[in-house]
Amino acid sequence: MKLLIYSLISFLIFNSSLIMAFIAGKVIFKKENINLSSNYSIFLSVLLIFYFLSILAFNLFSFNTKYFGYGILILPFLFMPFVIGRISKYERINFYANMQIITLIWSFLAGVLIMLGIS
Amino acid sequence: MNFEFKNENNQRAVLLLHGMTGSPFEMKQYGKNLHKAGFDVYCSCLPGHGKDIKNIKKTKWQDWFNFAEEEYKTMKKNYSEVYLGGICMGAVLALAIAEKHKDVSGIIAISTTLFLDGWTIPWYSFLFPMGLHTILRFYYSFPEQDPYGIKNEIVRRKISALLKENTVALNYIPMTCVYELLEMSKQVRKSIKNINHPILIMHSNRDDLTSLKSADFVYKNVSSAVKDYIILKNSYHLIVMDNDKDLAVQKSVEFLNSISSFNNSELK
Repeated sequence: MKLLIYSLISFLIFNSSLIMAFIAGKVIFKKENINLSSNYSIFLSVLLIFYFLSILAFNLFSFNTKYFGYGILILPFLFMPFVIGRISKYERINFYANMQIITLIWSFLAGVLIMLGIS
Repeated sequence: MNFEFKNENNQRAVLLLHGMTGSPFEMKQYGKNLHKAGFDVYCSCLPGHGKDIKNIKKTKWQDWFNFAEEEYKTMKKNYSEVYLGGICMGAVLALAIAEKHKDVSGIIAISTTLFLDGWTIPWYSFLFPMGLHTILRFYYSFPEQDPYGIKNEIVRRKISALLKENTVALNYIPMTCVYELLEMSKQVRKSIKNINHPILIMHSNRDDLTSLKSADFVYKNVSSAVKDYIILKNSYHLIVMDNDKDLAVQKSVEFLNSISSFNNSELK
């Protein structure tokens, strides 16, 4: 149960970090500084990895418990960045970046609801 | 930036395809030498390259393919024999066109880049899936850095200076380009057995961008009855500008003459 809570907390932390990082990214990427954009992209990639790991961890620890359904609820958010990446086009990058931020906000809200459900 | 080297009444021609973020500049000396050996040579800037560089992030591999295919079809109307030669992404493009067009007379694949696994690929390449398959690919670019694909230090210094101007080549590689190259590579690998054209594969054993795995894959999987595989030992990725450039020309000319129905005496 402890591991389940910790994984959910880490999910919320990385999720909220990603939301703020993507919002900050809208300013940083506009500067069109290649080194800055590249380094910031690496930072976002690392955050994404931790975000994915926290979703997987929550699913793992909720498996065979009564909270397994909650794990299934947030599992689609594991794939959303790749779905958005697949459909996005450079000409409408702002639109797809906003879509990415919105899905992260949804996943955060889902995480908060799960937290309320568990507690 | 585009170039054409032509003789009157020539029946054989080579369409050269440059590499990712490059331009015809990198193929020019190689093209000139093929022309001296009796071939008409054509090389144009691919979409999103050269003067069109601001559009590089919008360009898809299908744009490169369609452009190169049209060039090939135009040449085919004027020549009995049309060969395809390419370096890096250009080699992958040459394979893609040959898979679709059985009447390609032969292929020269130099530093074929089906996989990105050379010794200068960054240590953080394990993050590639994040970079390639999310929107981050529109923001991330690899900076071009030493050795710039060239072992020869004098040539490397000249190329490094030119890269800073971002005219003949970019000094960075947008991740979108990498994504499109790998998508094209996937398609080419699926249908590579459709290639039964004569093929010459040349690859450096010290290629900094793509290892011999790419060249090995092509050699083992094409259905060509005539296939040559030459491993070069004194160059990095940009063979046509590096220490082995003369050897690359010599082997290319020998290969082309061995499969051509025409020869130099007929041209004279």
